[in-house]
Amino acid sequence: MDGTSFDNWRGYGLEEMHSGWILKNGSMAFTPSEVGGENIITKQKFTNFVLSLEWKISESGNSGIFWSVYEDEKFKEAYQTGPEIQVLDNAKHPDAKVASGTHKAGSLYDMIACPDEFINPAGEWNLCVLEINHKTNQGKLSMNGNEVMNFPIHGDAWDTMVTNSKFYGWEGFGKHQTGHIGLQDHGDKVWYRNIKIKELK
Amino acid sequence: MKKLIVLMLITVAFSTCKQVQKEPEVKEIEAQETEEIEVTNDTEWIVLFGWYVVR
Repeated sequence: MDGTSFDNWRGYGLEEMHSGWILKNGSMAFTPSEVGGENIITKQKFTNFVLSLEWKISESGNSGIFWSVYEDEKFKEAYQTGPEIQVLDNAKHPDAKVASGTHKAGSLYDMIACPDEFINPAGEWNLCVLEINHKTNQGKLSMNGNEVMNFPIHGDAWDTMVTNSKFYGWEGFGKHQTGHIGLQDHGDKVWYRNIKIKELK
Repeated sequence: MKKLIVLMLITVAFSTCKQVQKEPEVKEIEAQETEEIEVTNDTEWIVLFGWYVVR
């Protein structure tokens, strides 16, 4: 179907793609600019799905994968509404040493930590499979073929997780069951490839 | 005569033992076949970016 274009993607809050993202060797490669904020999202929205993709982070790099991103002028960044699976160089980025490990690669950012042993180092590809199912109120994440976490995605249990995180009091965070998939510009080089999604019926 | 009976008993015991050993091999093959069928169903994926062949 698609292998050579950004047809399914656009910049957050834009109709077109950001220029920092280019096609390279079958992957989408992001090179940061001084502008910043070049987050991208899928044109399509999803509710219940399995998302599969591969990511590769640069040395000391940081990026992320969002779901349920809600686009609105009052939310300037995708991370204000969409929960994030962290993409990070655990060995060299300072974020790996804070927040009880919940800022490490593969973590549900600031909520659930992913063990180190399931993450490949910077410069290597990592396979990430995220399942979000509001019908069963279950989120599941596997990294490189290992299930690393299982968590609620709405209701009281989810609200408690948000309350105990840095997102407490954020107006739109984790509130929308339907939204865009997003990839983050965190000011570092990052690559993504083989991105596919299956809607759960 | 005694030798013959002992030889027959050994033969029967060895034959039974081989049959018992064979059973788990059959079960393993059946389990592998089931797993393969589940993994190959790739028709519902929407490709957002990549080189997957969508059938």
